[in-house]
Amino acid sequence: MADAVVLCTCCGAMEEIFDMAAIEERLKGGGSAPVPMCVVPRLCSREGARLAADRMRQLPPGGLVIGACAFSARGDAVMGMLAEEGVRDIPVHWADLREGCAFVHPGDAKGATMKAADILAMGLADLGRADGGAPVLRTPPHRRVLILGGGPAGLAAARAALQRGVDVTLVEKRPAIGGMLPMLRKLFPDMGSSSDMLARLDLPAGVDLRTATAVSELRPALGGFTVTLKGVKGDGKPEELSVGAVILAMGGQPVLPKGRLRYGELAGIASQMELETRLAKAERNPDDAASLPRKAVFVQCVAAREDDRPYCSAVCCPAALKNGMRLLECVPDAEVTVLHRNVCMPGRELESFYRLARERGVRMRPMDPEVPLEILEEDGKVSGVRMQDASSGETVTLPCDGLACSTPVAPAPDAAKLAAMLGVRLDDMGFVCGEEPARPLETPVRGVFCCGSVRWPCTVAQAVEEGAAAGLLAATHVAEPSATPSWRPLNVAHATATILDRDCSGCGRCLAACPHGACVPDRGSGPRRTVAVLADRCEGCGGCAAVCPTGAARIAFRPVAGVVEGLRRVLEVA
Amino acid sequence: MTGKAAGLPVLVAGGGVAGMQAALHLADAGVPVVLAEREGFLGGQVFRLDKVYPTDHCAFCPVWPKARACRSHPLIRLRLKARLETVEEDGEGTVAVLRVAPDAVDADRCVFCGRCMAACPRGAVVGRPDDIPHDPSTAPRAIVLDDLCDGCGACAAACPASAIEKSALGRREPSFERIPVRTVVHATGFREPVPHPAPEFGAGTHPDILTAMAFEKLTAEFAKGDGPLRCPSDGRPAKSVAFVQCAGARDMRHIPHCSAVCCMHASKHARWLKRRDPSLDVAIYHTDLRTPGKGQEAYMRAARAEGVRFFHARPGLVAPLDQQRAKGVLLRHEAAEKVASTVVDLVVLNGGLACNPSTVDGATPGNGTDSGRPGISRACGFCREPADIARSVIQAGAVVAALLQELADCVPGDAMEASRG
Ligand SMILES: Cc1cc2nc3c(=O)[nH]c(=O)nc-3n(C[C@H](O)[C@H](O)[C@H](O)COP(=O)(O)OP(=O)(O)OC[C@H]3O[C@@H](n4cnc5c(N)ncnc54)[C@H](O)[C@@H]3O)c2cc1C
Ligand code: SF4
Ligand code: SF4
Ligand code: SF4
Ligand code: SF4
Repeated sequence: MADAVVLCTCCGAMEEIFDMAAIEERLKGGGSAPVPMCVVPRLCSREGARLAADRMRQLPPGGLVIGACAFSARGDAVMGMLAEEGVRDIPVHWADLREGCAFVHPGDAKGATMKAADILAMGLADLGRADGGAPVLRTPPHRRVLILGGGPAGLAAARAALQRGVDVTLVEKRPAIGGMLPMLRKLFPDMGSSSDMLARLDLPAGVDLRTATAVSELRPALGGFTVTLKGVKGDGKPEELSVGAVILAMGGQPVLPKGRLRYGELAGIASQMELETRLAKAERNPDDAASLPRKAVFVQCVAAREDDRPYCSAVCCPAALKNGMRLLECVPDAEVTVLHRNVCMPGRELESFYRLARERGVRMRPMDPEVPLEILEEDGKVSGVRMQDASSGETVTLPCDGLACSTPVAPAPDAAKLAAMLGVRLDDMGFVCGEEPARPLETPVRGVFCCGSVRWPCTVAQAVEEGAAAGLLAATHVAEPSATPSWRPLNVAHATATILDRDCSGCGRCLAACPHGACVPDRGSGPRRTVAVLADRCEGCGGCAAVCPTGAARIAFRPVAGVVEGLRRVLEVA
Repeated sequence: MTGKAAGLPVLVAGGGVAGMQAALHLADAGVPVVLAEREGFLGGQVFRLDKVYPTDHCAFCPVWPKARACRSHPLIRLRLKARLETVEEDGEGTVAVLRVAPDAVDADRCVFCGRCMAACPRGAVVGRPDDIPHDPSTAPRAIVLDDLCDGCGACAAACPASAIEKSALGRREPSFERIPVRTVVHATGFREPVPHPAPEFGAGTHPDILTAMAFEKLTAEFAKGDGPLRCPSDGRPAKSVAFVQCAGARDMRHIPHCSAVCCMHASKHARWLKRRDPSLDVAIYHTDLRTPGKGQEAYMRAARAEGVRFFHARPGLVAPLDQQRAKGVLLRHEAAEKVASTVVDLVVLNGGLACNPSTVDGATPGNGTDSGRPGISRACGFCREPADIARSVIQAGAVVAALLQELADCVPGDAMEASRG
């Protein structure tokens, strides 16, 4: 094979720093056959690409090293134009001589020239070692999106994905869709009714809805995932589906204030969620208002923002203010005092909701988390709270006949199990992680998305936004790729791992190491247990190769030998 | 809408993270997009950040892949230095009017060789806008001609890539481009209001009283290296820094809303300052500390553990000391129901971020996701509701999902059908 070098002068900018003749000289090395070299003034122009292609045609077939700008600057354009000019499907190594060399050594022409020649020589060595460069064939994903959870997030996701023309299956473990919505009745920040919201989110025709259904198995497979569904009670015949993407929307559940503030011990102490339900009853039937407290104290951040649960749950401040206003509406002469560490009402809409609550008479009092509250009782019922006001430092007693604890939302109970089946990471709190901050709904496992309170506690409006966005992302993921994968240089191309069956001992370390869920137990029929790599999920990070004790796992296209050979040549010449 | 409208593009106004994401979602669904950005580069305010919370990665990461995807997407037409001026409804449909600043440099041809800079006798050719604190080897560069240019043409003659259009040199007047569109998505982001809305915080009275974005620039690692943090006034190393939260925000006289990003923004700065110099005294004066987002409370707790001091007090006055007698800035705030005064070297004013109005008449897009009128007023990102990077990206998806639904409802069998295959 006769490999060649195309060197771009970048309109002369490179020549100002490099001595082109010296580069050519040095590439000849120890007297071996000269490497054909073609210098073009501007490879990213039509004329430049044509010049290079004409020259390549005169040479015997071989690989090509392109010395030019950083690939991210103009590389795609150059590769595209070369292909159009008839140079394609040969091994190419892209050598960054501009940003990576000329630009960083402006005052050292001689050194920069030597370095450029070395970079090119290493590229040539890499070409020699390239193992064919056959592109990895990616199986097109199944055109079906699986959504787990039928709360606001899941419903919005289903609508958005279906709109994009892909098939949608929504699995809800309860008998009906809606998630937390039916329990809420009135929603902040506009006090809109939750049944109106649910009606707006109702599933359009065409979604394959499975209620009272559970996921018993979910595993990565070529083209996406294979999921096994069955009835929640273990009833019904298990059914297997192939899907191209999965959206995790299992929501969350409010923590119960067990063992806190004498909850469960004294009458009149409830969780904010329980108060929510009683308010809903009273709103439907005014006679029930008699059982609501007249002097209510709400305590914020119960079982939240402490060492065991070091997070702010985002919805409990607005929920408390909402319920304070509802209570004042049901019982106009009631008093509501909210004991808080901070009032967490960020943004425009929530901040004005906060102002509204204060105008309506909800009282706020800061407390010091270091000073425990003392719950006062009378005949087995709560009668007051003694607390230290954090701004004045005074100790005050607030008489009350009802106390509500605002507790945080924790991830859905199945989140951990499902995430483990998919190889998706959870954060310390057990919520599903996207790639924060720029791709918050995309997990590192390709084809797995997350939205709503299984990702992080959020308002209904936010859950709907996240669901819709995740639906679009999943639909794009499973829709037919529009452009065929372009021809790319070896050292830029997407590399994937391969596992040599012969050397794999089946220890399974790579299964645990792969952050993208691409290493899976090989379900082939062979006698030994080995591991397979799902090419369409592998990101080429090399995690498997790093932990593999036998060297069976390796990254295709980037044999270390090529790098070593390159270094050897460069060091030999020097 | 007529059949003609179906093939028209959607205009996305603003090329920050929200606008770029909206453009990508639309284009991925087969809808052509014109992405108009007022500045000469994509990325918006995120590009001016050095690091981003809660990952502490440099801000380049969220921006660059999206900018590249926008640049190379066949259905996205990029218009830089183009600001949305008005949106008109004529009898035929919706027309977006862009005000395009004269730009003699063709960014697609320019190879950034810099010869035009050397050739210009008036120093009118400058590199990337210099308010961007990034490492020049990674940030995409841009050649800009400023107002000093008198059109002599020396740069065009020196340019080896024929990237400078001689006839456009020295032109001052913008051109106006009228684009028939299906609708407009607003993603114009935020700005720090000038003058600062709360004069009692002393913004503009002394170089050591800075706004959050100015402080970002001062501390950006690429801009300043590893040396000590120096006071802009006289270059002496700073020993103490105070962050004043909600400065100008959550205040009925100024900006009533909460900017939603500055509690975390301050913690981020505070932690980086402590990392750089643990002996620095770093204090955050806040009203409510709002950290409801993913990983935010944990980030704040880490700041506390690393020695950042938090005070639940909103200073009423920030003023420079009489510089003849003592250096520093005075901070007057409440402490245990008494007034306390503290002197620090640097004060950073956080909060009071305003939505960027998207059109000349100053109309803010407001809550766009469920606005009724098809054709106008959909918004995502900070200009809709104060939002950080993650929220802005999410909103972009939500707005596009709603928009696709609406477009499909009013034009059956349009371009989106094609994308469904
Ligand atoms: C006390 C309280 C008051 C609130 N008040 C308001 C308010 O006024 N306004 C507001 O905007 N927000 C409010 N919220 C927040 C609101 O509840 C959430 O924003 C919303 O429920 C999130 O929607 P979701 O779809 O993510 O989760 P969810 O509503 O929890 O829905 C998740 C669904 O997934 C299902 N599921 C779980 N696991 C599986 C599985 N393995 N397979 C299949 N399905 C599964 C569940 O059964 C459920 O139906 C409040 C929260 C609390 C705690
Ligand atoms: S291909 Fe790269 S190095 Fe060559 S002219 Fe274009 S920008 Fe410059
Ligand atoms: S939202 Fe409010 S009550 Fe809930 S954890 Fe955050 S600060 Fe505490
Ligand atoms: S730009 Fe580079 S250094 Fe910065 S976060 Fe991304 S990968 Fe890390
Ligand atoms: S001379 Fe031309 S190619 Fe070089 S930087 Fe200036 S505009 Fe770009």
